[in-house]
Amino acid sequence: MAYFLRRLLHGVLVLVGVSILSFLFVQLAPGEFFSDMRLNPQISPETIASLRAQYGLDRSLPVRYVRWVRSVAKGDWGYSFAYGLPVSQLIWSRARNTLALTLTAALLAWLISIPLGIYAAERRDHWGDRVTVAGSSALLTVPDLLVALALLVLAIRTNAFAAGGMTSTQFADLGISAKIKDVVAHFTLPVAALVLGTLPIFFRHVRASMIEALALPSIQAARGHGIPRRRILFRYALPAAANPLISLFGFSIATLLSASLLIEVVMSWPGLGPMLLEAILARDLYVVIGAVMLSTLFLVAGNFIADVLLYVTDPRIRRGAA
Amino acid sequence: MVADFVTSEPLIRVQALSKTYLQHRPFSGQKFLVRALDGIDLAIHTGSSFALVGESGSGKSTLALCIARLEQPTVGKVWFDGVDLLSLSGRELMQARRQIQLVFQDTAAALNPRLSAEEIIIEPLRIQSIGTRAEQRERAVQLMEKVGLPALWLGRRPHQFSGGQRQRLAIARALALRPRLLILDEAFTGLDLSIQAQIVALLQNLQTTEKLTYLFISHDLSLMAHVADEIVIMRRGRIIEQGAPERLFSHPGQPETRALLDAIPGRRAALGFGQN
Amino acid sequence: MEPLLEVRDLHVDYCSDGMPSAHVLRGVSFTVGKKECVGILGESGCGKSTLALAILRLVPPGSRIKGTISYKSQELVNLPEREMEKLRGAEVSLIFQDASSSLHPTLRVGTQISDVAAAHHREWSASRRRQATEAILREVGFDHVERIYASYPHQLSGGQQQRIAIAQALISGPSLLIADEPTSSLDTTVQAEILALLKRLRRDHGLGLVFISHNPAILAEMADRILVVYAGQIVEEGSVRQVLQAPLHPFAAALLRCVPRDAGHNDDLLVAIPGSAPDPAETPAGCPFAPRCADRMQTCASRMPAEMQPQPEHNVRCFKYGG
Repeated sequence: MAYFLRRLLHGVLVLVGVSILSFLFVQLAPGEFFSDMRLNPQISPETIASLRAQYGLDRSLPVRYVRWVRSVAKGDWGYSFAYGLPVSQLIWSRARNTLALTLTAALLAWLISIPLGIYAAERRDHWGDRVTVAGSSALLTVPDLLVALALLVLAIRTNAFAAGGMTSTQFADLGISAKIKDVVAHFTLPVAALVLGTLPIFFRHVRASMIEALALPSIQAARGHGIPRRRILFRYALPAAANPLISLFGFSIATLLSASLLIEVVMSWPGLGPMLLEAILARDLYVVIGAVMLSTLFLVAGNFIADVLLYVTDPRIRRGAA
Repeated sequence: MVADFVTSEPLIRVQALSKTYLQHRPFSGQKFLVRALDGIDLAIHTGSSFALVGESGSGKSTLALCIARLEQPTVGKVWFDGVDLLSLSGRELMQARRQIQLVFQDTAAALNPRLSAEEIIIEPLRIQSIGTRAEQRERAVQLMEKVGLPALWLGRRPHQFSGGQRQRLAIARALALRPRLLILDEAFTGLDLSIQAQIVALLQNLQTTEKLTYLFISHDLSLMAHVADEIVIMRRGRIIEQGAPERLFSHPGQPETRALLDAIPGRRAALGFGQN
Repeated sequence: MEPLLEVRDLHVDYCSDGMPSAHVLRGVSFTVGKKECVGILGESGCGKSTLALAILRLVPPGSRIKGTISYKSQELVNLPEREMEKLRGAEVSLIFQDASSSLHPTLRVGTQISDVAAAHHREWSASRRRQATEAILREVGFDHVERIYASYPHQLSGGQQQRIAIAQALISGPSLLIADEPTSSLDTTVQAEILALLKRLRRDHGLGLVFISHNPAILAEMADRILVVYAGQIVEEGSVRQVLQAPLHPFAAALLRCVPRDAGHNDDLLVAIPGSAPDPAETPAGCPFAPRCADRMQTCASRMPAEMQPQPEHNVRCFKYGG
């Protein structure tokens, strides 16, 4: 238990650190939400000053940080200048959409890369391996953005998938099965973009870890005892290859998340990405901080899940932790 | 291997040395006291070869680390050439430590795989800032020759050497600071018999040319009988028997000693490997 | 009598990029009789571990095996992989040098033993496998079999790990056991225990044993016959008494002088063999031991001596005995 508490505490410290840093950086960026109003002759400087006071922008940085922390404790996460709403209300539905996208993509990417990696590792240097490795290298050199744009073009040309948004305009009038169909159609494109962007990385790691695992003396010994090939692959070699992969899984959440923010903007997915972009451009600083904090939270959660998985799968870590 | 420069003052004297530490039992979290060393007395004379023999967990390595002051004993004293080692600190301790060097079992971890042989040998000189770069290089060449490795190989990395050659390299490194005491902790373990015999021959030569005193640590009583002139048998942190190898082999005084003798392979096979 | 294992003119080449890069075994021939223990004596790098792997066709991918290996008259070199899988562990078992790395770190040792039983007895129920596993654990000397069954390798000592590896090797009732330096990573006292265990198991199960070691003193206890291997070739072959008491080949004689014997005998000094074993990547023209040999003659550098039999049942490849 002490192990999990330590890992949790570590995660909390990361969150606190990121909150302080994002506060500082947002402050260092030139301009603020109300700068544009100054250019407008119809708004008096007094109005701006009172607005700034209302949002606490006239206070010192530490005071504002403490106020923000209090607001987090209340569940508001600060206020958006642009919408005049608590950040939490704005961000929650967006975060849900991003999470849905990221997790679906992560699940798919891993589900494809694990069997593919095992296949390639077992047929190392045979043509099956060469083809998959070459394919993944080719995919790796294409920037995510290009993949996304290519998919968009494909979608528009073929009209097979919905290109952009999460639901169709007439979504509210559809029946249950049509609703599901509609959401799946909208999911396909951004998920495909994310999977294509991360798959080659995961695949290469799975392949490399499996090649290393298959050369281990313990795997050699299992072969020497006549354990059948399939059993060796899945029961002996895969767990031996698992530790670096589980750690990579923790990071993969972060990789996918940052890729997802970009893809969301390109494909107008109603997630954190477009919102973050808009908020940065408008200097809506508590929304920016909120989005950064949520991303960090996902990342910390991903790593925590990886730690739990490691604990469950590796008895040596269990003993070290006891 | 007794060399001719033996004097009466022991190089190392250990008195009433004990080391205990608390260990937590897993899960229950209960604490219990481990006696790693329990009232050790011994004296190692200059120019002699001394061996600590015992099974793993007998405390022999901990004792060696206490002598090298890499571990702190709980109670007791260690004198090196008449100087109380445990009272030293700072510069004096650095000076004393230079005179005691260690060679460990040849494992992947024993030598830094990223350094070349030359860098490995002169690392101690660099740390202590001894000599110019040219002088250090010259010393490295000289040390390679001393341990029977071609100086041409100074640029090679540890993985390009065989196990026996790596052990020669480790000895060269240990000799760089001209120590007086060499502690060899399982330095023969994992080596082929033929390689082992080569390293033994090398150490015998170096003992006279470099005026070295040896402290061997090993589980192999039969080999220690060949390299040491005094053997201490350890068990559970205590010295249970001590004596010259001939005496231990012909008249083992303790059942544990007899058990160690019986464990020597081939002794009962009556093919010329025993006492017949 | 039909031998258990017969190896004829076995060559193994390790390859890199499809080209042979090292000639590890160069024409090895020997037999192992039923219930016989053949000791294989040699330095590290001489090819003795490759020999163990080659018999079970476990050499690294890309290596080439030439020659014949027949086990109970069945030819193994060209046997389909599926058939080979059935043979490994059930007929011929292997014990590796270092049990700490040959056991899987994240599986319980009981599972690892019963997996071997499952591989060769698919019809066995889980409880039958469990019973068999506990029985073999008791046989290799464990008292608290239930606790051991549930342990992970890192919770056991080196000697206990090697007992587990032996249990794995024996649970499917093989007739031939190949042990590759099974005690070289153990303390002397634990080594003695494992050797005693192997001797007992060999007798109780009527096993043929190929015991690989660099230490003649260990083979003195274990072997009936000894093959001395140098640079991928058998340079001497004879009974344990012949080879260890009156070695013919200069390498065998020199290796015996490296064994630390009892103290108090002045003539029993260790004598080191100068030089080191040749690199398997290079093929010497003559006898590969010649550069290190105290008895070398002119012919030694130019060609390899043929196998001679100066005494009955005692073969040697050295010009001292003709050839």
